[in-house]
Amino acid sequence: MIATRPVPTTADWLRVNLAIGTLSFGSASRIVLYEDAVVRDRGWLDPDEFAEVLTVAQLLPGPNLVNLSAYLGYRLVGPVGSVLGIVCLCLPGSLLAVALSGVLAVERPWVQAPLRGMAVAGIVLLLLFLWRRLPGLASTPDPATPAPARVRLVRGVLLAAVGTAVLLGASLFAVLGVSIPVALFLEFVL
Amino acid sequence: MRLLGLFWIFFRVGLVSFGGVFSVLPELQRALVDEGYITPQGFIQAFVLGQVVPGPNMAMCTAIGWHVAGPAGALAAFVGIYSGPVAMMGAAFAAYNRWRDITWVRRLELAMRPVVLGLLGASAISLMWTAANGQRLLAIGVSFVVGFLAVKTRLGALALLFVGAAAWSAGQLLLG
Repeated sequence: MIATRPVPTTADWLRVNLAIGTLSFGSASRIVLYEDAVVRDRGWLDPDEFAEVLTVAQLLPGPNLVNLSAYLGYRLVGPVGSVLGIVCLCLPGSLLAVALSGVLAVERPWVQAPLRGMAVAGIVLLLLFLWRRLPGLASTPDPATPAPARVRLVRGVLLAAVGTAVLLGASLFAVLGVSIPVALFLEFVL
Repeated sequence: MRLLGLFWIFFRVGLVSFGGVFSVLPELQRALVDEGYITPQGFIQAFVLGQVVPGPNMAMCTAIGWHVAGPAGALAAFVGIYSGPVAMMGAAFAAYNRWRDITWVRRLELAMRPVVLGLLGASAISLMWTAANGQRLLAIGVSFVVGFLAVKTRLGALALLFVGAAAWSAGQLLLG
């Protein structure tokens, strides 16, 4: 298992970032594009490792859409490759923004329609991706033993509570300030 | 001097940019507009632009930098906005990576999964609300097409994004 897994070179990783930086219209699609590239198409990580990376990247400080690339790069090709990966991810959009800033035509319908279609498609893909992640709630440190039903129920309720609070307009800091201690209490005390 | 000032604005805003550009938009606007780097209209244009180009929505910062001082300004803005968070992330990732095989660190990550999934789920739903605004029927149709193809075929995410773009354009033409 360890011997057969493909290991990316820094150049491989930069190509992935350049492609996603060029094509990820609509922020929702980015997680799924990375999953496709890293797990499905190339097998650099398994799905559970991807779930771990996603959790860490979302909760550590920084612009969270860049975090995922940063931490994936760190895991796959080390710190230098990670920084270069971020540059490759950000460069195409930045150049395009500079190029377009003279000829701002983003309100025209023929520009808006495909962009909105991509945004909606990206959101649908993100929702499907989250749906596929739900079994990950049953993981424990030992891959052979899944968590008992009680733990899974508690985690499910926590997920629903966090989602509902955010949708009802609670501030991100308030939600995280409450939910992180609660999650830790549930995991380590109960 | 102007370049240094520009770098400093983006650098200090980048340091507190938890959760992407939206959380620092008011501060960025205040600093850039008050200190005369850009007009309010120019700022809003840059924001709209940053939302439509691919990649992280911080792209607007590079565009503003270019507007203020050409290529050097763009570079100052790009490095300024990203260097703080990247340094912080690097330190945090290194620490996590070093200790992630310890059982309680692993349990910490597992305990956080529901929180992260809940946050992402909520942001997906509210993004959908915004994207579907005024075109609810079309949004449902496009979602159905994309969702169906995603579940029933082996098409990758990239292909499905273009399916979404084509479906929305076609729908808009048909519905007028």
